[in-house]
Order: sequence, then C-alpha cells, then structure tokens
Amino acid sequence: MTTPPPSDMQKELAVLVPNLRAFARSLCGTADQADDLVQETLVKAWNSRAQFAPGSNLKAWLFTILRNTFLSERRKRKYEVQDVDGEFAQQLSVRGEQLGHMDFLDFQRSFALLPEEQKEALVLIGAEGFAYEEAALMCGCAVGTMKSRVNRARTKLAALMGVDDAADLGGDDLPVRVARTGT
Amino acid sequence: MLPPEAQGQIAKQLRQVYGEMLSEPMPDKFAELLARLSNSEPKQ
Repeated sequence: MTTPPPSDMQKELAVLVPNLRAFARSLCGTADQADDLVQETLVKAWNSRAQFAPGSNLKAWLFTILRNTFLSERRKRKYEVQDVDGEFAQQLSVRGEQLGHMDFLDFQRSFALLPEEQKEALVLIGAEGFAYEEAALMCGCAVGTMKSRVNRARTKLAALMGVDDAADLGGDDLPVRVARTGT
Repeated sequence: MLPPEAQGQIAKQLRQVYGEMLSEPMPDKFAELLARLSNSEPKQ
C-alpha cells in the first residue's frame, strides 16, 4: 500500500499550510489570491496523493504543485501579478533618503520589485532552505540558473535598500546582532 | 559581488519577514477544507 492513510496525509498537509501560504504570497499580488492558490493546491495534492512517493520531500512536492497551479492560472489571467510600475518610480525617488536605513517595509517593497523568477528563487533558497538542486528541479531550470537568480535577487535588493555599499553597513549606530530565536 | 555584510543583512531580513508570515495563525478555512477532503472519499 503506497497511499498514506487519509488522516496522516491530512495532518502532514496541515503542518505545511503556513509554508504554502508564505510561498504563495511571495508569488501573488494579494493575500486573498494567495490563499485561493493554497486551497487549490491542497485540493490538487489531495486528489493526486497516490502519486506522491512516500519518503520523498512532501514540501517540495506541494510547492511544485502550487507553483504549477500559479503559472497555469496566470496564463488564464486569474492571478494578476502585482503592478509595481508606479511603486518602482516612487521607490527610486525616495531611495536617497533611505540610504543606510532598513526596516520591514523597506525590505518588502524592495522584494516586490524583483522579477518573479528571482523572488521565488530567493524564497526557496534563502527562506525555505531548499538546496539549489531541489529548487532547480522544482522550477525546471539548471542549478547554475538558480544560483544566478539568487545572486541577482540579492544584488538588486541590496541596491534598492541602499545596503550595496559596504560603508552603509559599518556604522557604529548599526549594531550587528545575530538573531537566534530557535533553529 | 555583494559584500558579505550586505548578504547577511538581506538574508536576515528575508528570514525575519518570511518567519512572520509562517507564524501567522492559520485561518479556519484551511482546516475545514482538509477535513472535508479527508471525509469525502475513504478510497484506497
């Protein structure tokens, strides 16, 4: 018997819902669209759970389903990606005042300006901790492509947040604190 | 190439923002959906 008992699968899916929602929100324009996408992903995953190879990475499998669903729905224009044109100009004009200053909003606005493929690369590698090989497999690209997407994402974020110049980081007013709130 | 300090700052902020999303409470609709799914078909 290869299909896990329904209750087990249900529990394992529930545990990963927060990750699916977070990943979806990095792809979708709004939180509502992201949650719709997660619900659709859960239904698809459930219906095709017999195809999941026991012992393989469930999160990677679910993320792949979510990503494929997002791409195919977007082809049908169901999920609009965030329109950032206006925001982009705005960001450039305020950038001068924000040099050396960073906060959540700053990061999030900068993140929103990244090309889609760089957003997902950064989230998969930097936030979810997938290996480059896994992420490349999930996105159907070469490992080298995945690495360069992550690098370009970091470089662009650093430029937008004004931290690309090492001088902005070394000030005495910016204590380097390593947050270890659990592993 | 990005200085290591900048890379570290970006990595930290990414994990922080992402971590906040992860710790948001899960809306009931997801638990309800999963319950509906697992009750819908006792097929093997």
